[in-house]
Amino acid sequence: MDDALRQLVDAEPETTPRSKLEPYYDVIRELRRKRRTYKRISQFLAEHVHLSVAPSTIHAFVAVRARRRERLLKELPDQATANARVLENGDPVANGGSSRAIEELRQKPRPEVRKPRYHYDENEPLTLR
Amino acid sequence: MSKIKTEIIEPESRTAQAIHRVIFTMGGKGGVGKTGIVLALTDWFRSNGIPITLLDLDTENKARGSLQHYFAEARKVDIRTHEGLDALIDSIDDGAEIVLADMGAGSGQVTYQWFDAMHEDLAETGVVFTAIGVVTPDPASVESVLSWANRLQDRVQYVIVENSITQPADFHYWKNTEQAQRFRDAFHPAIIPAEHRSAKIENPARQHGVTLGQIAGKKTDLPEFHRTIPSARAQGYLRRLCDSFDSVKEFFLP
Repeated sequence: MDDALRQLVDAEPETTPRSKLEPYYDVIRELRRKRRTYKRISQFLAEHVHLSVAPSTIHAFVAVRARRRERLLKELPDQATANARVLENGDPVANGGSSRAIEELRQKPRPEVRKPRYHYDENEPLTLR
Repeated sequence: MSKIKTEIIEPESRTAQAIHRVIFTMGGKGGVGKTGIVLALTDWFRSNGIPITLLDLDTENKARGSLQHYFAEARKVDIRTHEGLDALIDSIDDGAEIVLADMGAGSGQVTYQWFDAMHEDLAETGVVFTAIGVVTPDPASVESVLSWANRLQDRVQYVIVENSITQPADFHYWKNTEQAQRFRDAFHPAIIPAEHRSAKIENPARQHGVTLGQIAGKKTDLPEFHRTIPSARAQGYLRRLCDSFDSVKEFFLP
């Protein structure tokens, strides 16, 4: 990115959180992980932080951020990663440290992705044996 | 009558000792007899003195056909609301060890999403799930069960009821298709039969919200059920169903 563009991007203000629940993000996350229902979380916030909020609002808050998390996974990679990909079949030495770091990452064991035990295609008719 | 087969397979995600069990009907295809099976299972729990919490999650069915019509204490829950299926866990928080929930037709998508969001954490706290699928000679009933299994995978244990809603009943699509065989191989469901029941008992029972247990024990005000024949028949139906439930009780207890 050239300097002029950099300055323009930097000049853009951060978007401020619009939900009144934003300060309680971690509280909601923890309670949800403790399998508390939206109703219970609503009661918890009312009792302990005097915040009146409907269970459906908390649900929407969680749902929107869950979707945002999914989207983040599809964002563009950072420039270093992109460069390494370009150089993958070319000249890794030219990329110096970042290619080494990426190589180290590649060597790390990957989390095992479990294959579904069963697959059924709803669009295919049942077939007799 | 089919031979009862049981081979319990533990859900992969079962990491803690089971403390609570949530049993629910796979509510895909309507009119296969899901509620009838839940009613008989309720009679089985009660005859064994096992306390359960009943949830009526059938929001599609008219009042007359749903669980609450038979058991007033069954809590009606609209699963399409934001908190919908959280009711299962609310009941456990309120002290229930076993929750028996009757899902309505077309409840699949909501249930899948809820499972995806909640199951992992719930499994760690000792909640296990049993999904009851009801198959009939209609291939759509088989497809419905397989669709649910495709989404729920091994996060639940499966009990399949072969419900003879016709006489004779031919479960060709359940027994002889590749997809159903792969399901059986993958999850080793408990498979139990439910024999054909006389319309003279089924229809008035549904109309008036009376269970087989009440007919068998003549605990109903309806004069047509005070005679010996319907009472004896209901006793027979219920006894054979309860024998089947006994044979797979591991799927119904924590």
